Amino acid sequence: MQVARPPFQERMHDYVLGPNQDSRLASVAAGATIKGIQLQLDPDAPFQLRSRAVRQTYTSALTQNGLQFLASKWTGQRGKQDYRHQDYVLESLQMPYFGQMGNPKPIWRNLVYPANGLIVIDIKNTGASAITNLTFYWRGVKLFPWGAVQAYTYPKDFAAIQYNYQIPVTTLGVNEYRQNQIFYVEQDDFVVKAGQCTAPFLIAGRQFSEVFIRWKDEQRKPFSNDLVPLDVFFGSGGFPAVVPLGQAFIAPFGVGPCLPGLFYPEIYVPLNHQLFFDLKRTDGAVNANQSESFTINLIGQKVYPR
Amino acid sequence: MYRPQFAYPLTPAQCEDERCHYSFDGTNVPRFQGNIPGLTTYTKVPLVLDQDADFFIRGIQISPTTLLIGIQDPSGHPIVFPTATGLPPVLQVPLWAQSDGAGLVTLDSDNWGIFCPASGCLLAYVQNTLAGSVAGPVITLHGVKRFKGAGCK
Repeated sequence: MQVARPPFQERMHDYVLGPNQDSRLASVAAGATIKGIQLQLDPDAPFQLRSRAVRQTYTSALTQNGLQFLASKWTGQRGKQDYRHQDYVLESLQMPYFGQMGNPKPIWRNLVYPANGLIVIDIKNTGASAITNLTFYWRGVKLFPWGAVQAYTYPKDFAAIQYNYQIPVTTLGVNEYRQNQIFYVEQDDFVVKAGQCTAPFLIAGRQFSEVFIRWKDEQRKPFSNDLVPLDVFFGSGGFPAVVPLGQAFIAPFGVGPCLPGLFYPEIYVPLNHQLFFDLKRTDGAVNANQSESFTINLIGQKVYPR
Repeated sequence: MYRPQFAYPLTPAQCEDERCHYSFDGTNVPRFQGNIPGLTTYTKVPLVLDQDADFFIRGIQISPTTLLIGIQDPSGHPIVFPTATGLPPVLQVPLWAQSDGAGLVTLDSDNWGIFCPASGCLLAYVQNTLAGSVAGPVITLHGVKRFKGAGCK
């Protein structure tokens, strides 16, 4: 199967716009309107926006009960006034599942923002309670000239098989930050194409929901500007949480939350090479919270050079 | 409902693909009958395929369960990496095969799917890490059988 080479070397990148980027998003009061929230893009490459997601901190009942009342309008690549909406639009109408669980809402046609560009978003909380730690995710690819960033690829002749590479994570503390964890490929080459992870849970007062990850290549160049929640980046077949839809909460259905989160473009990791990742958990020492173990599963293919 | 996420390549000339799914449970796999005892691991449980045609696995679906499960293809390649060398190649089902019918086979070669020759035998690994017994799993493979005529490659 021959696939045309794209004009630029694409590299997966997620831009996070949350309280770390604009402190006003830490708590968006009921009825509040916040204008001119700016996401400053990196200077190293243009960014092709392919999909979006939005998230808030889970409540102690494992819901995100404010998102259904969140409306927004945001700008395209032509600058601060290039709004893509005539007025505020509820996020629940812009994307099912709020783009979470590895299923970001596709943006088509893709928008290409210049290096050092800006994405501006205005938001309105139409609900009766504050939204805590509201965070937007702008998912896509950075566009580099070919050869500008290191990337491995397939050998000329090879065989391949579907493969699941599991990464067990043991006893991540309630407020722990583990940096530069190693994913090491120790059997043949491996191509990372998708991922699943343990879903958020609430069991007998033990809550596991505010857990974040940031992937880095073997030169420790990150694939995102900040940490991304596991439940945004990854899918999970056992997703237990109800999903806000319009004015109600419903159980996940259809092809949404059960699908794996995609790495795009795929990441080729040769034998004996590695990726790095940071993990952070902020559930805090409340109720019966404790250190938890969980598993990340990278789905892709194993490559046998011939 | 099984819905492939990408367009599959055309069937080669002189071949005929026929949609097929295999289901393995207690009715056709003795090891899956009844409950799996607590703290038990079954290795290399044979899942035997039909003799009439090659089969390409394009989706794997396992019933929701607390069992850890892995599969090895007929050529002897496990498709799950064990947590450590020497341990069975098994994984929590929600992380790879509990997908409401959406296939998780990500191969995108010309034949797209895990190749299983006619009368091939997959091997399943099943591990119950709990103290209590757990009902046997149901493993469903979605894909196509490829029937070959003269000239089929």
